[in-house]
Amino acid sequence: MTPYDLKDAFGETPQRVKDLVTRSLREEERSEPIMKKKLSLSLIAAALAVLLLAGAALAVSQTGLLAEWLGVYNQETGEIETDAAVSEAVQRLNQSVEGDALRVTLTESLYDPEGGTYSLAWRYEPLTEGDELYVVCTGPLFDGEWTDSMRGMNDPECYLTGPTDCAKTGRLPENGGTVATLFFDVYRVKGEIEHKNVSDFEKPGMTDKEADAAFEAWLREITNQGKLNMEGDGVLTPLWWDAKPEEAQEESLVRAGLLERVDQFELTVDIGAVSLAAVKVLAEPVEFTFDNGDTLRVNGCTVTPMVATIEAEYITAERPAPSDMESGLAIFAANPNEGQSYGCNSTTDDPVQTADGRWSVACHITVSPLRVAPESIKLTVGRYEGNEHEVIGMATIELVDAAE
Amino acid sequence: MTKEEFERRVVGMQDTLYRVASTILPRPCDREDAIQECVYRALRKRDSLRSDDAMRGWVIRILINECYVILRRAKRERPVDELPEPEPQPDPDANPDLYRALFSLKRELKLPLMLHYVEGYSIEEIAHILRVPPGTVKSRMARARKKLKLELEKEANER
Repeated sequence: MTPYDLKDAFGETPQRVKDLVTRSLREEERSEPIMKKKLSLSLIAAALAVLLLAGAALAVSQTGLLAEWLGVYNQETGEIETDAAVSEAVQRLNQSVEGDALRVTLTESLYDPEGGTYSLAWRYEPLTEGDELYVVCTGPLFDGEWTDSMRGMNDPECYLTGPTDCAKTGRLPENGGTVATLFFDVYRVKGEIEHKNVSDFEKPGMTDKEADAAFEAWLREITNQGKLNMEGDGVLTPLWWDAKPEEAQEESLVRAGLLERVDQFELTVDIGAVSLAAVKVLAEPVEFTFDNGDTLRVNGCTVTPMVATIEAEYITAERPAPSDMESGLAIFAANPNEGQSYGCNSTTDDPVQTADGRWSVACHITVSPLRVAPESIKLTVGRYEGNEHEVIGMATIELVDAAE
Repeated sequence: MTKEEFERRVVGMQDTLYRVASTILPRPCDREDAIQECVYRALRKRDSLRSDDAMRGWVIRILINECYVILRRAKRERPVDELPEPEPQPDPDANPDLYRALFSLKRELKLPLMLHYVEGYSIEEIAHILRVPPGTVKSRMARARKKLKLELEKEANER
C-alpha cells in the first residue's frame, strides 16, 4: 500500500451531496429576495394590512418552502423537484404570534406518520426596521414529549435583520401526539459582530488546547469592548466561562450586555390534519441466502418520500450473540440505481430460535432522509467486532407502488 | 471571475469538498451541513477573493472552518465527557479499513496527508490552506505516513 491508495478510503461522492452542492448554489441566488431580504416598514405594514383583510391568503401565497426544501435539484432541468406526495400532503398554516420586536408565522407543516417524521416551516418578521435580532427556537414539544430534530434551515439559532424563512425536520414523538409547540426566545443584538472561529487562531506548532485558549482570550477581549462573535452563519458564540448548565447559553451574552431579551412566546399547531401516505411498499416477503449459508428475510418495507422503514430477519444456524456496543449485526442501505448511500439506523432484537432449529435476529431498519421514494433499496449486511466490520452479503429489494 | 464560472468551479470541487468533510467529521449529516454552509459562504463572499487561482484553496479553507464550527458546537451542546465519540461512517463502496485507519489519525496529521495524496495539492498549497509553514506540513505528513502504516499493520495483525 502506498499513500496514494488513500483515495480508496473514500467512496464515490454520494449523489445527495452532489445535489446539495448544486442546490445550495441555486438557493444562494434566491437567498436575498426570499430568505433575508429586509423589507421597508411601509411594505411590512402593507403586508399586515393584507393579512388582516385576506385572512389566510398570506399563507397561501407563501406556499412551497417545505416542498422546495425537501425536494431534489434536477441538474438537467434546473428545477427543484419534489415528490408529488409531499406537495399534496403539505398543510398550509397561518398561525402567528407577535411580541414587541418580532412576529412569527407558522406557514407549513408535513405530517409523516408512516415514516415517523414531521416538518415545519415558519417565518420571522422584525417589527422595527433596522432591528438586529437573534432568535432561538426550541422544540417542538409534542403533547409533552420532546423529540429529536434531524435538520434545520435558520434553526435553531437565527440572526436576522429582515423577514427570514425557517424550516426544520425531525422525529415524531412516541406518544403519537400531533399537537406541536415551538418556543421562541427573541433577543436584540446590542454589540457589533465579529466573525471568527478557533481555526483563525491556530499557529504553527500549536495544540488544539492552545488554539482554544487563544480564541477564548480574544473572545474575552472583544466582550470587554462590547462586541459579539458569530461562528458560521447565524450562531453567536456564548461566553462559556460564564455559562451556567441550568440556563440557555445566550444568557451569558445577556449578562454581558451584548444581547437584550425582548420577546418570549410560543406557537402551537396541530399538524395531524393531513398525512403523508406511503408511496412504495414491498409486495411480499423476500429471502436472500448469502455465501456463508445465512439468510436475510425481508418481511416488509414501507416507503414515504421522507423515510423507508424495513423489517427483516437475519437467520443463521448458530446462535449469535446479542448485538452490543462491541459486536453485532449492522445493515446499511443504498439506492442501487444512483449509487447513493442513505443515512440508516438499524437495531436488532435478541436472537430467538425458529421452528427448524435455526436462530433468527429481528432487524428494524430506518432509512432517512430520502426526499424521493426509490424504486429499490440495496441492503448491505455486515457484522462488526470492535472497529472491524465484515460484509456478509448484499441484497436488493424491489418496491412496488403502495396503491397497487 | 463571473458568478457562472465560480459556480462551475464549485460544482467541479464537490468530490474534494466531500472528502475534506469526511476527513474531519465522522457523521454524514454533519458533512452535508458543513458543505452546504461552505457553498453559501463562498458564494456570498466571492467578491473578497483576490486571485482566481487561489479559489480552490480558499473554498477548502472555508469548509475546514465550517467543519470546526460543527465540532465546536457539538462540544458546547453537551459536556465533552458525556459526549460519545461518533463512530466514523465510511461510504459503502470505500475501503473501510483504510478509512478507519485514516480517521484514527489526529486532525492535524490526516488533513495534509489527504490534501496531498488524494487531492494533489503541493506542500506550499497545503501550507497556505492550513496556515502553517511548509516545513510543518512536511513533518506532519511524515508522522502521518508512519502512524498510518502502524495502524494498517495493527489491523492486518488483528484480522
